[in-house]
Amino acid sequence: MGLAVIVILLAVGMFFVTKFSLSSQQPTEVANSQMKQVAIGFVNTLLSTDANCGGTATFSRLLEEMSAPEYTILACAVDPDAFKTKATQILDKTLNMWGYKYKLTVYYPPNAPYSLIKPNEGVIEINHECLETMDEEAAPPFPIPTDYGDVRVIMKICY
Amino acid sequence: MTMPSEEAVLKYTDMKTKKSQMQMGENVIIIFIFFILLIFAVVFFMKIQGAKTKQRIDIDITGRGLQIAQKVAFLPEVQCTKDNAEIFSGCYDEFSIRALDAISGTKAQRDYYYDVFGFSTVSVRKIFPIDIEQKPLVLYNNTLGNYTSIIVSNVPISLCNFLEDRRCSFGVLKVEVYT
Repeated sequence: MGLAVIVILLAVGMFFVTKFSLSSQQPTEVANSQMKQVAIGFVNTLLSTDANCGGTATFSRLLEEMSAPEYTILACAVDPDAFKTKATQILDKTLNMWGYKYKLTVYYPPNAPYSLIKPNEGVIEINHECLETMDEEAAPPFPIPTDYGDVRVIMKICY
Repeated sequence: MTMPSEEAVLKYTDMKTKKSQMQMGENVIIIFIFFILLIFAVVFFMKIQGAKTKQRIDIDITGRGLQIAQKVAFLPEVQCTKDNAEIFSGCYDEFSIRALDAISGTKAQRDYYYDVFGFSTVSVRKIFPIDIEQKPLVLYNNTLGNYTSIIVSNVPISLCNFLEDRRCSFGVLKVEVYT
């Protein structure tokens, strides 16, 4: 009888331990919503930021001009790594410092000249510790219209 | 019928007493273990509740930080406007922020914004493009004297300069809430 009581109590105890350890690993809905807001806010701000390319060109304009580098009037749009280098400078001082794992991807339309000159088929990717197995919160794709179709910018926060 | 000897009766009574004592001892041990487990369960439950309460408070305070960030975004004092209309969402006027920074230490400014920001520090830092490292611009600073913790919320913002060159920098709005 005594042994039965002990076994039941241990079972109840184990149930609580399991429940607690499982629930503490899952981020809350509030945290998920915050991650999404950070992703949206980051891309929105990035695309309207001056790209330091001469003139008043923003990152949005830089991506647009990079889609057809032979016709651009922006000096830095000729460099295929211009966006990645400049965006990394900002990411180092923001999301990296705040401890986020993220993946920023820019997809060029398939017929854009940029897609033809780059070996990775028109995709710019900046990945900071984001693994395929991780869950993610993504901002909706930001489209930038060009002569060849839309360039899409997608930011995902992984956890 | 023969009566059992006195020795046999004593032996029988002694055996019965020993058995009862053993059972009693067993019961005491079980009750002891039961209470030990009960104490463990109560301590564990209290720990869970404590952790959950702390998590809830943290979320609440983080939420308050984001609320303050939202309030800053809607302050007409710092919004980029053209013909009284906001130019785009998340756009902050650099000159207005500089003007607020200049008066952020004054008591009058603290009193004026206390209802909106409470005990917190709201500052803006330019991240890109940047030639030399600049100190953050403080919009509001009201530190709680004996605070126990600070919750920090960072929000990316566009810091625009429409008076000089019509350029927007990448900035970070930092809200520190004191509890």
